[in-house]
Amino acid sequence: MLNISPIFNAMLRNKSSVILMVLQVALTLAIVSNAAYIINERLELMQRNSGLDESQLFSFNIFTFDKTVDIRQQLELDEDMLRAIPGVNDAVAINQVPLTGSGDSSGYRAQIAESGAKIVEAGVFRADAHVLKTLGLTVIEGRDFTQDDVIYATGASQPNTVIITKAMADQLFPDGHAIGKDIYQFQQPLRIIGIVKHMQGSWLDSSYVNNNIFLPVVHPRSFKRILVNADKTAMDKIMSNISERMLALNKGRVVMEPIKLAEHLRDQYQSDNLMVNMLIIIICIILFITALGVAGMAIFNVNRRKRQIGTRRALGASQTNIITHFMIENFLMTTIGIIIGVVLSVFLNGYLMEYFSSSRIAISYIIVTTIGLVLLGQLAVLFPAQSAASISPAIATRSV
Amino acid sequence: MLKMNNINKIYRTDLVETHALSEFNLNVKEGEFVSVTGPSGSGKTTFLNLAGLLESTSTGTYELDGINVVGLNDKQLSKIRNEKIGFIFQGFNLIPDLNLFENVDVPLRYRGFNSKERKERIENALEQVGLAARMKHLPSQLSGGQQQRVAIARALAGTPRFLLADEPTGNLDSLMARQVMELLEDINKSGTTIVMVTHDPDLARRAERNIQIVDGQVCDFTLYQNNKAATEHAISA
Repeated sequence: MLNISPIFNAMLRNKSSVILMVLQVALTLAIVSNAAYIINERLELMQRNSGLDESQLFSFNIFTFDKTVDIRQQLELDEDMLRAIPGVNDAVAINQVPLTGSGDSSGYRAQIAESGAKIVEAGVFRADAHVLKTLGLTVIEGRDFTQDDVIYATGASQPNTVIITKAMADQLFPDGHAIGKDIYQFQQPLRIIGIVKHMQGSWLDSSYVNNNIFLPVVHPRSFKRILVNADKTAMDKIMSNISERMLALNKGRVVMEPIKLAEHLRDQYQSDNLMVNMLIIIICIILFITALGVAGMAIFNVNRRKRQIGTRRALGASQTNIITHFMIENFLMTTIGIIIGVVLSVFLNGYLMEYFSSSRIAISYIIVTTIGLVLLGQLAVLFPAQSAASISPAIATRSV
Repeated sequence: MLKMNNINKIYRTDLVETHALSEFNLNVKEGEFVSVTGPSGSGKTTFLNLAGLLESTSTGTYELDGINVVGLNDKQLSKIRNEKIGFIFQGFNLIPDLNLFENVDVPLRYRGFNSKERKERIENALEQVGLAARMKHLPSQLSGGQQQRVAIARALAGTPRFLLADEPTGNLDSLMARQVMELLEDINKSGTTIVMVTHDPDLARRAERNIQIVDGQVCDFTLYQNNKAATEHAISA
């Protein structure tokens, strides 16, 4: 039979140790549930689909210091050479490389600026007609660029056609009909000829990471970024001698070390990864300390109450009754701690929302942490409770 | 009520083997009030522990209220302790965090009585020892004599057939001791068998029968007295 009320009453007469235990459980619940929620937020962030096959892409930069070189001509030579390397699927000179944390963005409207239409921010990718193939993207509506769409510009000239991501199209034209429509950065209309399903831009933490626009324009400048799509198996070999190949075409430049896109992605999520690992360690430490606290308190109580336990055994308590007594006592303390902990969790989440841009904690995290804490408490108290049950009832007759 | 035959209790450590009780025989009839005396280390407490099923015998047979209790498991022994035996300890052994009502309630909860029956039994038991008005007090708010009366109420609440008292007046002054002894005598008159371990010869004499334990065995009192008289005579001669 459960002895909840006398155990609860006895707890109320021993407030100090109970308060310590309850506070420990409450703080553990608040910290662990919020930490687990943040971990999940970060993991979801890191597991987002970039829309790219990062394992097939690498990029490198070139700076041409030889002023006599015809940059546009050299660029065409470079691209032709790269595309001819066995194992290379395609290559393109591009103004920015996705997932690198560095690049170019701008605002676009569905109507001219004076209309006051909503500005949609987007990452801007400028390259020739090979851009989608190199990135491994395909159009889901409309068509890909042809070489006729591409312009070579030294100034701020804009092409007439653009391809945009579906996310950007949905924001500009919520009715779903973007193909053939014009959008505006300034006064000149840019005709949407194609839509790609999905691609993340350069800044993974930005609100418009999925809004990207491709412009078929090449600016022949001394500093260029080159993006290469190659077979996974051939990638390392191609990367190892890319510099030699480039310099063989023209020595009047510096070819920087190629970097895989997967590496860029890892770098971008480095702080998130660090935070996840830190929080996992913190959760483990806190749970360990809480388990130690529960077990320690139970062991202390068993030692303090040896004579009481012997007396209970003499009065008819079975070993199971003694184990149940300690389990119930722990359960009651944990329950009070959990009630306070839920309130603390919500307050802590509010603080994190206000100062650290976290979102509202899902109730499931509090529930799962609560169940975990109850189980942890019961497990931690089991060994001391078993040792209490093994106390001989004969201890009751020993002299004081 | 209590029948012990050829009981042996041996405590063993790595180095020493102590025979606390040897070939111990005792028969207590239903309704008897038996006092158990003996010098320190004679085996009184061991007898009490065995009689109260707080420890198990090494060899021998023990029947309590017609039940052979040797070899029973923990659950069975706990049930017999709870239903048939009432304990009164020298140090009262009340639980300090529980009030008088809750203290008396402890064995009744293990018995599985419903709350109405428990309440009735607790109030009657506390009434019987004159402490019904103080059932919400904690043990620390009572005198030693009062605490022992609560312990008696706790022992009586389950209406046991057999009461085991371990130096029930050992921690009390003479007035309190007399009151507690009178209470035990009243309980015995109502039909409860009592075995009381005591150091006090005056208290022992108030029981119907006195058992002397010497060196772990029941001493034949007549033979003991004769031997003692003969020894004294020889010395004086």
